[in-house]
Amino acid sequence: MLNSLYRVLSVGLKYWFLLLAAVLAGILVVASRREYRERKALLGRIGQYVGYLEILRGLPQAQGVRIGIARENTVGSGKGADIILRHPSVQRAHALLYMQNGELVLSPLSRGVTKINGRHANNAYTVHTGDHIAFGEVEVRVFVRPELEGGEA
Amino acid sequence: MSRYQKSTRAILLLEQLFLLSAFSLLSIRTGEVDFLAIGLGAGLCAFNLLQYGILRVAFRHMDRFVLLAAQFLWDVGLVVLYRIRPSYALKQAAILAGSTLAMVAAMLVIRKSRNFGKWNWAFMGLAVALLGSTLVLSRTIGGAKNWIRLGPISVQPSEFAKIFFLMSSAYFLSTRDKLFSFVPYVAFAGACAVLLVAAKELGTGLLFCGTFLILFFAATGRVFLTLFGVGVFGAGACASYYVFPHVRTRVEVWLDPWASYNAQGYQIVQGLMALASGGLFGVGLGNGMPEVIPASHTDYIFSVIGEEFGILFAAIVNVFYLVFIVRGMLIALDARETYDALLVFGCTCMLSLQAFIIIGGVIKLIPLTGITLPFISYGGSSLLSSMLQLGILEGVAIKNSRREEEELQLMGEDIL
Repeated sequence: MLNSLYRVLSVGLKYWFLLLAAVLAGILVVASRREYRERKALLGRIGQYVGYLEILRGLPQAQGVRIGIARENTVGSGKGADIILRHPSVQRAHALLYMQNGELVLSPLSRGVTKINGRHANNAYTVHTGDHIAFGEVEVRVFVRPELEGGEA
Repeated sequence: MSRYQKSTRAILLLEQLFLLSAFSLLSIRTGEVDFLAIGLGAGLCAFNLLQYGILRVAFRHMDRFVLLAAQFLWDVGLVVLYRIRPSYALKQAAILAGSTLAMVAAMLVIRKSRNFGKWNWAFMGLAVALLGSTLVLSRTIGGAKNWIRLGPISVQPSEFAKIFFLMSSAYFLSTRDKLFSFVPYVAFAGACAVLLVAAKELGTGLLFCGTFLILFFAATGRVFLTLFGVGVFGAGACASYYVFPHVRTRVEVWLDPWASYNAQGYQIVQGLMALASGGLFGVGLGNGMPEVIPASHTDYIFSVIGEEFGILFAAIVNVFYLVFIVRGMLIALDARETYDALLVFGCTCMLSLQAFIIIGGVIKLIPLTGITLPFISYGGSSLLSSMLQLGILEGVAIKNSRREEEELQLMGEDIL
């Protein structure tokens, strides 16, 4: 009885083993490829930023949102700005934010109000992690990668 | 990470399904219900699930896909070994459990370590001593003197020499840049190759030479020197063809196995006939004749897989090796330290070359040199060293993804 069952099963199951192995290999290849690509894409996106601006006040719907800072950014309410803050008090091209000699520099571009830690900024100033910047009525907190703040060109 | 939990869980469960269905089939092979097979299948299932579950919790950052690929490979190996002779599978399963501990130890050491500095000189000495010890103390198996008996167990020292070879290779290639400073390392690699050829372990010798050349090129990028190395290797291979009758036989048998069908060509011919009788879909698990192939449980296990599961299944087994290799290379590319990168790259190269050399030999693509198929073949030393290499891979993967997670925590994953 068992012998004939075995003979039938062993022939039938070889297709089952093949199917199982093919499905397994397929899932393994697809999933491992996707996992790697997505992880790299996320890290690549984050890796290009030198820090971020966290929105504190002024834009209730975007409170707490963190916006990445690249090596050179324009801040403004216009479509052309790299960091867009849609608020009537923010000018179309409000300020420049860029890395210079390993430090993040804020340079106001327009007659709009720009404050660093509550003081008016009329010239270019360096900003550091923890500083509060106000563009018009929008207030943000600065974070710069610690390894950059050490002072690298 | 949790997004892939569904896929990894599906892979894990399907692998256990494979194991269970194969062992249930084997349990009724003799005409009466073999509870040993059912027990071993269930036990291995539990072992795999437990191993994956514990490692996933203990090392959140490990590369799960590499471990899953390796799990399938040893599942296939254990099924085929049980079919050839149940005692092989039982012994192999015990070794598997033991070498999992060795793998975890390797992960822990590599995760914390740097390049081991001066210890590498000791590693070099140990590797040479291990290879030399076979010449002095060995007994001959299948023409090759590569086994040492230690009481009830036989060990194959060259398998452990591999690990030391990889570690000292990574050290020398990552810390030296002047040509002259490579001299001790090159002398060491040459000594390894000579000792292996002298012990008639041609497959392992080929493996060491190939890994050395690939690693040297990957680390230094010197085309002419590498080509010079390839030339020296070719000259050495030609010389050993003329000097050692053993080598000459291998090549002659490879060119025309049918001429010496009853003598030296017997193994190759039987292997080829097994593959041919299996065809695309195989003859079914348990219906083949592995007992007519010499060394069917070690070197020739690939032809048993091909006969009973079919060549398509055997090709899919290669896909699992490929996943292993590709993930290994990606881990090496991600590593920040050159030492880690070269170590992982070396392990990946060695495992892939090993699979290539023996599968190529079995299908008569290259001359047959007897080495084991990583993770699948029967053999404690071989499984242990493959598991150690897997542990090294995972250890560096842990290092890498820890760094990535620090980066994500620093900047926040939801950054715009």
